[in-house]
Amino acid sequence: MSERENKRKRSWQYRKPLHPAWKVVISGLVLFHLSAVVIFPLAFASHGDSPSVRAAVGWFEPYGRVCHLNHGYAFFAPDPGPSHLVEYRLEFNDGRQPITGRFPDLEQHWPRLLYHRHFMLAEHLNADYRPPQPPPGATPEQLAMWKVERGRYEQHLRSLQRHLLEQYDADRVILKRLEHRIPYVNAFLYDGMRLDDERLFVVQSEVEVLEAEGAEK
Amino acid sequence: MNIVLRGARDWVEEGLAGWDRFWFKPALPHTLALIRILAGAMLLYTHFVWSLNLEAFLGPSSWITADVSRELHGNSIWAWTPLWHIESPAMLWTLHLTGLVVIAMFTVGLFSRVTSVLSFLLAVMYCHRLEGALFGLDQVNTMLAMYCMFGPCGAVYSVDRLIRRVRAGGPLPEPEPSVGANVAIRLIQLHMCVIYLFGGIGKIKGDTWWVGNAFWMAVGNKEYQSLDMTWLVHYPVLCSLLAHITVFWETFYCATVWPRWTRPITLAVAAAVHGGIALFLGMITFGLAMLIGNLAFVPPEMIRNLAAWLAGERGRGGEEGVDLERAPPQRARRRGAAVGVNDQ
Repeated sequence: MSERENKRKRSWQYRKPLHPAWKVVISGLVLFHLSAVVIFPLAFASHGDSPSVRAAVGWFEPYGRVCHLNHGYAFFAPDPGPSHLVEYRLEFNDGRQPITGRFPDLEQHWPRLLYHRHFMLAEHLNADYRPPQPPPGATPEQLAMWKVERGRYEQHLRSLQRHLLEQYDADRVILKRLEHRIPYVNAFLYDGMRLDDERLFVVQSEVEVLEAEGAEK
Repeated sequence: MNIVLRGARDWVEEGLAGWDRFWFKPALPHTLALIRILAGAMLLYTHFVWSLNLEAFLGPSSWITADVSRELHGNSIWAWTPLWHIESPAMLWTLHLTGLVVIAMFTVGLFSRVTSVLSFLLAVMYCHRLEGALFGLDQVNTMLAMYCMFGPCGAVYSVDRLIRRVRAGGPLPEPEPSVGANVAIRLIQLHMCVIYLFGGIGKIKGDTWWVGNAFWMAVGNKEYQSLDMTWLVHYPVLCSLLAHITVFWETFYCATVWPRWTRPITLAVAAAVHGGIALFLGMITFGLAMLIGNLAFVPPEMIRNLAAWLAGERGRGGEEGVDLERAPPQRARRRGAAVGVNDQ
């Protein structure tokens, strides 16, 4: 058989079509995968309140986590909202002047993607926030959930604080969550309020202090 | 009764035939290969940027420590990543630099079959460790890396093909259409539809998208702003119109992107929306990543011909110089059979 003929036979239209059994297997895998792609944003949209979606999420949880598919895709939804930032003050027992800072910070974080990573650190901390007291009239189930979530927030917060303490070799860090609100259209148009007006930065309810281990109080 | 049964049988048969056509019709690999190059470059850039602050994000005393990262995943074993266990900076840098080399190889299409799988694993490994610093870009990065490994993403526009060409001592035949290329592109297409559908549904719940001042809320957000577009506030009719178009386009993307007539319009709006996000809202990486995902709806024949045209082979159909205008009947038939992924 000539080389030309060999090439011709290797050509795709001379190949055997995919065996039906393979088609069934691939179809099953595709359906499973697409179900996972849909179920996570559905769970996000229903806030976990739909029993059927909650049950389905349980089935797909391992696959969704392994493949990083567990997202809500709610970009700028339901409404574009205010930004959340973190402001810190580092204090030193050896007489050094305190250092204050804020993240994200355009002047410090470059390129833009690195700035956005710091922005997300602040946004995720805010998203994880749970009040220090359980919701009034909480059922035992809600109370247990609050405990877990509040514990997670505290760990998250301490992690950021410890990073700052170690980065600057500081003895104390005071950390505030800030909300940077967007001015009303009328205030912007007629009162001349700027986007970075100090009145638009609102300190969130708690101010968190962490002492470095061994630091004198 | 017979009529009802026959109707039901026809319905099932047509459905199965449609399913078969949708998933198993071989497609040329050019769209997937272009997505590999662009998505690979984006993944490479994303990981390069981690290098600028590697230990602050992945070191033992990082912003989010390994223990807290595990906690943010609810201590799920399914989010396991080796990066939870790496404490030595030397080991971390070695792994990171190796990862960058692997992603660079994937981008240029060297050992694509292996490097596409490794790139996906690397992307997921970093995402699991970096919970708390992620956003939409990472979701799109991992999605595109995942689907690239399902198809022959290095069949064209790749170092792999160049090596094969050198070994063959001359031009290679046109790359073969394959089921793998079709399945990979179909999965990207459907995933994009899901992303937009839920993005649209989410916005429908919000008042500002209905009232029309969502645009102000976006351009008036100082932290996102990269170009000052607050002058738009002087044009409330335009602002509200843009908000409404965004919601309708996003919600119905999954329907309007398939018919030939509405697809160009849908993709043009995607280019405008994501171009706007990239230029004005400070998320150039995310905007570009979404545009790369939208490329899945561009037929491979168009990309092949455009690439040939750019390479100065105007009138020639393939990278190896197949002249489509003068193709013999059999060749033309093959070309017709090499169905694009968007031939619905």
